[in-house]
Amino acid sequence: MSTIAENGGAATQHMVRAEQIVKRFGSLTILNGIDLSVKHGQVVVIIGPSGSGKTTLLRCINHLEKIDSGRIYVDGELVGYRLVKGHMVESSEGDIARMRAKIGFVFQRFNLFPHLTVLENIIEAPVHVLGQSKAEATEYATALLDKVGLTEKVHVYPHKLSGGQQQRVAIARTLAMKPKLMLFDEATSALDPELVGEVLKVMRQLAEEGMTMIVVTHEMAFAREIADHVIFMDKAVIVEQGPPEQIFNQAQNERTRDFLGMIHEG
Amino acid sequence: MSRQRPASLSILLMGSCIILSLLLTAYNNSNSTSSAAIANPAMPTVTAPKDLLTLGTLTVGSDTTYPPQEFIDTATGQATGFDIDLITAIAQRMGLKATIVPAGFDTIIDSLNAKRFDVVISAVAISDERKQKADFVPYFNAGASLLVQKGNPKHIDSTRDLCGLNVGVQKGTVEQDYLTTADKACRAQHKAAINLTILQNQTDVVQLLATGRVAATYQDSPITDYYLQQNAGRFDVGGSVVNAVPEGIAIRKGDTAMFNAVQTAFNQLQADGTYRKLFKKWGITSGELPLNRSQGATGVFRWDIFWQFLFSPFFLRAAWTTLWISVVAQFLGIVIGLFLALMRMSRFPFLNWPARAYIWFFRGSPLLVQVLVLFDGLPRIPQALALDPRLWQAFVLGPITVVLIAFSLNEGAYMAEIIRAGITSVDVGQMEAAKSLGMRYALAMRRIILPQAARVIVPPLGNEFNNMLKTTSIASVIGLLELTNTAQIFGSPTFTTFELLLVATLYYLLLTTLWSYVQAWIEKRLDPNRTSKLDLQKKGWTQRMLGFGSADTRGAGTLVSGH
Repeated sequence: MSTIAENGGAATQHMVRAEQIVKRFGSLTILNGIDLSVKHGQVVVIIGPSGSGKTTLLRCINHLEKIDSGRIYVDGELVGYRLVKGHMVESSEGDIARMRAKIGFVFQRFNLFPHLTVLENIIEAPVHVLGQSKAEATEYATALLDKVGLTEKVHVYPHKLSGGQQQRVAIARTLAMKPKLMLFDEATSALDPELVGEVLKVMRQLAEEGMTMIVVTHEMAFAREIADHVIFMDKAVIVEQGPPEQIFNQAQNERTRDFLGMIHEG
Repeated sequence: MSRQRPASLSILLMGSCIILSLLLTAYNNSNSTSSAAIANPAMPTVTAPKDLLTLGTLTVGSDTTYPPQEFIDTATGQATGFDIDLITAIAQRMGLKATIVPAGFDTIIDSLNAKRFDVVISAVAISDERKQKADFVPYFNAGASLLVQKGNPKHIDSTRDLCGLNVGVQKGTVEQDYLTTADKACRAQHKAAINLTILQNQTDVVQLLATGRVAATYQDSPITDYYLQQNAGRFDVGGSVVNAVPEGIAIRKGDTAMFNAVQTAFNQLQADGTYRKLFKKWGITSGELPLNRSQGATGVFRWDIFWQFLFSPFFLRAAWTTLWISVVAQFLGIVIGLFLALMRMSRFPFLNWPARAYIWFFRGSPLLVQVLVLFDGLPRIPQALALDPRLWQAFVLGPITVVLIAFSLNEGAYMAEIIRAGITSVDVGQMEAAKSLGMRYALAMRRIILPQAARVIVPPLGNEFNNMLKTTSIASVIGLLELTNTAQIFGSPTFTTFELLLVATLYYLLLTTLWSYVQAWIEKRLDPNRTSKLDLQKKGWTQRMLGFGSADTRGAGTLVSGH
């Protein structure tokens, strides 16, 4: 593993550092010069209206989306690109895959593998990507299932599970890779209201254990509770950021206040 | 009264004399004109065709210079011979009188087609060339001989020397049967089998020899001579003229009424022994057609043939050939199709354009043409390019190789589109989830995407394989002994192709039906909503079978297909 690249010691302080990220879809600018830094063990919550670019930002961090300019470092490594004579050249498939293996990504729609059981979902990547033995992976998977409270669902297929259960399996699947960073993309948005709590509980537990997390969410109460740092995005830029008390109680920007007002009403 | 007695006696005598003389006359007449009255000059038993040149007469063309089959009796000036007797007897069965019209052999079929005769009997060996001009009712076997490479390098002097060699023969000929018999003899003596290539046209058979694909071809001796003469210095005759091939009574093409009448009459003569007696009468010791060879065209369905072949090793072997060729070609087609589909979906033009071109070509041209191009076209390339003759053989592919290559290349094009549709149907989130877990494209494809795509791919794949089982019949054109070709080959010499095609159809139905069960089983296994074994153990049978009383409101039962 090549750590601490050309950007020097400062990177070690930060799990994620993004500089001036620009992302366009055709003529539409989704991210317009985003700067972001996330320290080790920090929980950063990104809020903002739909279409503000927060999901895209998350997807850029593990290179599910290519960026048009700017740089993203995760754990000191440039994500998705390497510098060749000052130019950004897309990394090889293997390098990108190795990078992604260190970053957990939890999807809004869970994206469990429907043809595999809960256990098989969880051990798939540890066995086939990390090269763990099946026994080793199964042991860890069992511990993770215990952690997310789904021990009895080991051999069940995903479609037999409720949305909340599926999302908890998805989190366990991600944790099985022992990631250094977890990205949550509206992890509870697709759930029935009564199922949201069980997923948030798992996320809260992870945060308490010191996992570095970037969470995109519409759950404001939850954001206020677990966030070390809150970022408000709107129209492709970061409008305002700061500690949760500051953003939720004394937002400086009118757009932030408007957004939070709407959320509370709704 | 007493005078009356002699009178009545004389009347009786006279009457007797008259009847006797009439009988004698009839006998003599028939004897002198046709010599056919060996059996009873029976009542017509076959309906005569209406469309005759002369009412009540069967006008027969014959080159009467070919004893003992047809020649002019110098004593009477009348046409006579085995053939003449036979056609006269056939005419009698139709209630007609036969009139022989002498004609030159080389133009005899043309004259038939120009309606100068109703039929031709003139020791006309049945060849494909002639079959194109007329229909034939076989009635006699003529000689056959082997055509080999110049100088006879393999020292082939009879069919006994053919063990372990590649041999070409025309489909439906008796030579083919003789080769089958010779092949059995080889096996019985624990020698290598004869590797037969059986083709529709004699021309193609000789082409096999020309391209070196076979060591010998076996056909009517006139044909052997013909090719020997046509390809001067290229071929030789292997051994002497042996065995026999059929000669036929020629009938204008499409004159079904006449064909059926002649065939039926001939069958009757064969069955009642008249035919055999003619051989004795003319001192001919060989060339007699076996009884079962010419019975099919009477319109009677030959159940005996049907049953005889239904469970015969020929058809079991053919079904096996059909099956394994289908399986191998389909498998290779899936592999080719998978790579094409992935290429086609690539964002790189250098990958997706070749795939598009491939699919365009193979889906846009007939499989039959692709097969023929590989089989007949490919061996001509080195000759056309004047390459070293030692390289020629490399361009000559055997029928199985040709079929497997053509079928799998063709199937690949279809499978590519089916697989592409299957992959496209899988939610993009699946690939993203796999990638975000650190999987590379190939691993994600193999472990995550394709198993899910399979569910969408299997139903159309099932159709493809069902089609493949039947498409193998195309292989018959290059002589592969799959089901259709087997039916044709065993059916055509005995005119029971229909019976045997029915047998082949039953085998096709058996194979496709079995496949439909296999397909259903695969589909069931790929169903993501299938109940796991563990669930099954916990559930009662009503829940299992009908999905009733499921405790889990989300998952419902097995019959509820998801989302």
